[in-house]
Amino acid sequence: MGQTMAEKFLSRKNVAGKPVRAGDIIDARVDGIMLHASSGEVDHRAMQGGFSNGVPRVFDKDKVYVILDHYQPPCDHHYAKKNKAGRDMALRLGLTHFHDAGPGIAHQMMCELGYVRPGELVPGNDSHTVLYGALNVASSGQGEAELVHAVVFGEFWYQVPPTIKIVMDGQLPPYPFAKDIMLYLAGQYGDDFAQYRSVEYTGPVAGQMSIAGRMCMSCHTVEIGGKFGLFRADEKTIEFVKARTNLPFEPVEADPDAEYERVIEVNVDEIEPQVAKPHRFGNAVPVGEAAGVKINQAIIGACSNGRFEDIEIAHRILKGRRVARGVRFLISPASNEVLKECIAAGIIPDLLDAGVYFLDPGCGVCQPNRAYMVDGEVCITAATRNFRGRYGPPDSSVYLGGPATVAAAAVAGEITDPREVLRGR
Amino acid sequence: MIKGKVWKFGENVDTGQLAPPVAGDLVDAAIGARYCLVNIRPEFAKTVQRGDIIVAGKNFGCGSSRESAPKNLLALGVACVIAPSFGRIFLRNAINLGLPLLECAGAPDVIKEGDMVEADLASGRIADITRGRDMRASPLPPVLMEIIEKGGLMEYARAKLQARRIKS
Repeated sequence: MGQTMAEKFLSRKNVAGKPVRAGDIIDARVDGIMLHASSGEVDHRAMQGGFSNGVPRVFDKDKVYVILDHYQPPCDHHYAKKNKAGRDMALRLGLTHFHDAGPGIAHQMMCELGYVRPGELVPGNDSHTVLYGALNVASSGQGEAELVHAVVFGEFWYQVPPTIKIVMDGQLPPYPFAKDIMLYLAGQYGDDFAQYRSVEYTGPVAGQMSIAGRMCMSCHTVEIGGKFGLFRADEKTIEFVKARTNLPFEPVEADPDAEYERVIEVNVDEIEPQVAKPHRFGNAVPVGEAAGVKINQAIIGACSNGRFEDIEIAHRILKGRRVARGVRFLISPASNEVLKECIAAGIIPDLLDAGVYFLDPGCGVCQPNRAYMVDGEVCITAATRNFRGRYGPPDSSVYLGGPATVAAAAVAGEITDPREVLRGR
Repeated sequence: MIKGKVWKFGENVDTGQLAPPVAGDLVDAAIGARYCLVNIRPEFAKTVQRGDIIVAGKNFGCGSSRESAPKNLLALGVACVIAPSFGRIFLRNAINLGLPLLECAGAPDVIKEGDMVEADLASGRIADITRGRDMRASPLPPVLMEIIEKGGLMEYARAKLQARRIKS
């Protein structure tokens, strides 16, 4: 019997050197560890645990990546102190890869800077660490206490997860659609249908999809409960990674006779643009069912949808139009590299002319220290979550949608089908 | 053996409710805990008693990796959480910080708000004393039981360091 990707990854990394099956519990050797804005918390946990000087050692100075992303630039004294704690730890441990005020989102930078490579196992202290699965990396989010252990030993315990295989058929539409597919899956199968599971995204659509789209799907794997959200490494992956690192890597493929707990087949031609109504990711409906809901705020950005194609579609929709009166439309690129792509493509002036508030790269539009609302207000966002109170008060409402749906709503002042707004563009 | 009065919650209670971003995770645990679940049950943090038990629907603790979610429940004295399933990062964080969790599919149907419930972590036995009903939770993986027995992950890590003679 063959192995799934998760079984292959964890067999390869098993400290005991033996092949593993779903259900086995093992210590695995990690290839890297991502620590973001809350890095200082890792030190703090170590101190609480009796290590008086913080994390006592690091398993490999080249493999612990600290990127202080969430609170840049810090909007108050507490955030500044939090950043300092992370900075102090990175400097004390003498880490090779430390990014202070990057700026950018750690997950995007981990991929862009070549810090994650196909075939690797990389935990991190953020739930959206699962994003690196887009590059055939087994990554998942963990808490700070666990990462103290990983930073010290370079090892981490895993239960080998069973795998759900998603087979995507059909033809992607000419605008970013990855978010819509994930919302559709969560709406159909539930917010937790991949709880404790590894997910493999396959089929012709996986191949058609850009690296940016794959990152969106892998990122949102945590919204369906998943541990890993994996794509195979194809020519696009290899080209993306080789442009960023000279280090060798060995991708992981599932065996043709691998044993899956469940196989879900979807045809993207039959999926309409989706929105998730408040306050759950899986509260998803075709956009038509939410059409007409008036909005106060629209957002494109975050590790889910802050890449060039997500901003380019906003340009395609907004060029020569205006953001509706009474709507705040915030766009924040995921990194400096994405910002530079936007500058090179010349799309920013048109967005500014349309009335977009174009922000610096970072997590602030999702976190949400740049996007607070008041009770009764409504936001549609391409960022990661719509939990109650995500943008402040409990009686504000957050809808999730793909970047085309968000831009269309920003123009209309209400939720609307992006296909109508895109006609002829 | 844990014994306490039950607070009931629905499905998909997320980390944004357990540790709301408005409260921030920048303050000490006691202050953060005051905001725990405030958006769905404003009276909870004010009136929960040390030793009380939470019984909830599936996918409890879904969302972020923030440790303040289980930390807030611990600070309020919640003795354990019983639910059909948990967000996977929350599950690991809770165990690491010493908050026991029990996975039990039938619990939300049987147990009602205010019931007295007894739970035994080692055997997984859950008894609703008020209703005279017994249930069984799925056993925790051995590695989690070992972490609980050692008194949390930091203790577990320290024992491992000593075993390898690395100075802290």
